[in-house]
Order: sequence, then structure tokens, then C-alpha cells
Amino acid sequence: MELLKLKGIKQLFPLKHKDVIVLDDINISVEEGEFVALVGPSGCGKSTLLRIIAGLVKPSAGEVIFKGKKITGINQDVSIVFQTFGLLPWLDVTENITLGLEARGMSLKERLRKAFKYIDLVGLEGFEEAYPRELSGGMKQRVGIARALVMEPELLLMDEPFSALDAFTAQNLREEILRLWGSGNLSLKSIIMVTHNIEEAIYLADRVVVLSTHPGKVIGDIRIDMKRPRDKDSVEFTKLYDKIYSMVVTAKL
Amino acid sequence: MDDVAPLPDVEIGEIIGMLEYLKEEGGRTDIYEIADDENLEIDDLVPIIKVASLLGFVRVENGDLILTDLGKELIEGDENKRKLIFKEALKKLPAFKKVIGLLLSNPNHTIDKSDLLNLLMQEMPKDEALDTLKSLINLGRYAELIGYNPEDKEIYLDQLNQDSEEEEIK
Repeated sequence: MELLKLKGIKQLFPLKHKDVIVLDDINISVEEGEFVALVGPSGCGKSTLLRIIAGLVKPSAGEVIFKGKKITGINQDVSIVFQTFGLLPWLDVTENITLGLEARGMSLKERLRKAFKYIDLVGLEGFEEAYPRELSGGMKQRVGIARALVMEPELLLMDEPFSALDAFTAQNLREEILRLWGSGNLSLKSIIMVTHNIEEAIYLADRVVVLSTHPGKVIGDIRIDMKRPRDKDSVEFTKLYDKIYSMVVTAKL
Repeated sequence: MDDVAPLPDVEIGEIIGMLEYLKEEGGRTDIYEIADDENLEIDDLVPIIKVASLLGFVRVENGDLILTDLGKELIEGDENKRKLIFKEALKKLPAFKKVIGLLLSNPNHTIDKSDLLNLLMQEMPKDEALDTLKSLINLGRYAELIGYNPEDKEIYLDQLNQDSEEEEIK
């Protein structure tokens, strides 16, 4: 079933003498159960597109259809994981995770019950009372992921979630995301991840959508049919990498 | 506090990520290749290898890094299993034995962070003592062996562990 449909999305950025077209005629459909990666050179409007999907930015033209309905404000069934974690430094781990639930008017008891469930799922037990300044980048991003999941969204958006982390920590969190995604323990129906890392996109996603820059347009939509865990050294992986890499390079020229 | 070797400050994710990488490489690889592959300086890689080998998850042999059976068990386990393996491995480290001994000898089962730092500084230079302290708290929290209260700056024995630890020490 179709979860999300982007129809003719266009985003203009007004300058003094003319408008710059950031995104042009974006048409993407995401099915339930799909993990989609959006890749493209910097400046292709990937992050803007995520914000449009979440309903945080209103597109200049086009429609976001979620479960068959047009989205006009913030989409409550969507959560975002940010590159720079976005934690509030004066709140501890549990408080950071439950903040959004509080805004939804949930009772303290219910908030804590939910928080502990997701703290457990993302491996943050033992850090419940820690403040962000005490945490390493990897642990901060675990809080970011728990905070997004605790809202029990149907669609999870991730904006370069691993690019602020060192190589091993990033690798570890990628595996965690796949483990959570495959566990069936989540409310999640689909994931859309923005990344500039092609290897990461092929390793994680079911589909890689390639965007061009100036303006951002869809120039490729590649299905990744490899079984998980995927072997990065395999011929199939390398072929896909070459194919997408050359698309991204061409998009930049 | 004697025979406590300094512990580098590395994050859990780095250790597990390195084990996952090793598994992908078939359980054994040249150390220089890891640095090359993952774009890491050798100075960043060595502390991770050091902690992972102290815990028994890897061993070094002729410039190769090898995933041990325990390391393999760890990455194949779920989050709770991983924490359990970390916990058992940490309990064997002299630094943790000392800290747990100190916590048990105190009626409240707590110790001030600054007191522990002073004790560590009797054994090693300040920089290393600070890293060791950070690492003890970080690893101990992850394994749910010890807790740390940032408000009171106090390290405490995780409630669930108190009885079993007391048994073991006796």
C-alpha cells in the first residue's frame, strides 16, 4: 500500500532579483515497508524535501499525500532524526525522550512507560539520568532515535543521521537501525533517509532515489534487491555503487 | 588502589562497530588495513583495540586483529545479551574490581566522582586518570554495573547488582 506520495513538488527560494528553484517537479511514491534513501550532491535540496514531507515547510507548488490524504500542516505520523541530534542540554536522557509526549498531553506514568520501552530498544539503559554533555556522539544519536521512535510514527525521516559520527560508531548505529527495522517491534511502516554516503544508502535501503542539483530533480530511482546483511565487497554491491556514483557525479556537472 | 592500569576513553559504539567490521572481514584482518579502510588515524584506532582486547573481544596476533568467540557472541546477541557480556567482561577488569570493592565498602554504596579521581591520580597522571574515570562511568553505565548521578556527582552501585556482588566478594 502507498504510504506517501509526492506530487509535483516545487520549492523556490526567493532572491532579490529572481527566484532560485531548489526543487523542481519531484514525484516520488513510497510504499509501506520500504526503506528509501535520498542521495545527491550537497545543495540538491534533500533536506528541504524531508522538511516538506514532515510538513515543516510548505512547498511553493505540489502536494504531499500521506495515506491518501493531502498534508497541510505538520504531519503527526512522522518523526525526524537529525544529523546534529537536536537534544536539549538542560534535560536528561529520559526528559529529552519524553518531551514530545508531554506536548501531546500524555500522563507522566504513560510517558515514562513509553520512554523506558524505547530506552531499552535502543540500548540506552543505564544512561536514563545522563545529560547530553556526558554522552558521546553515538549515545546522543541513540537518544535522537529513541526520541523519534517514542512518538510511534508511521514514517521515520532521517537527515544524514550517521555523518557526524566516527566510522565505527556510524557502522554500529547503521546495524542498530537495521535491527530495529527488521525486528517488527516498531510502529514504523517506512523510513526515508537523506545521505550523501552512497555506500550507506546501498547498504541500508530498499530503494535509492538520486537527486540532481540546481534544481533538485529526481534523476534515478534504483531498487536494491540484495538480501541483508549486504556484503559491501560483493560484485553486485560494487556494480550498484558504480552506477549510483556516476549518476551523482553527472548530476553535479 | 594498586595495579589499576589506565583505561582509554572510547565509546561503546566504537567497540561494537569495530567488532562488526571485523566480522564482515571474516573475523581477522591486518590492523593497518582497518585504519586505511575506515579512514582512521592509528592513534584513534589503538585505544579501541586496547579496550576491546582487555575485555576479551579481540586479540592481536602478528599485526592482525582477530575476533574472539566472545566478541562474536557479543555482536550476534541482542542489546540485553550485549550488555550482559559487557558486564561479565568488565567485572574481570582490575579497575572495575577496585571500584566495586570501594562501592561495597561504603555503607551507602556510593563514591564521589572527585574522590575516585583523586584515588586514580595516585596511580597515574591526571590526563590518564580523567580518561579512566570517564571510561569507567561510561562502560559501567552501559553494562548497568554502576550508575552515575550527575546532580550529586556520585557513582553508585546499580541496585540490581548489590546483592550478587556482595555474595561474590564474600
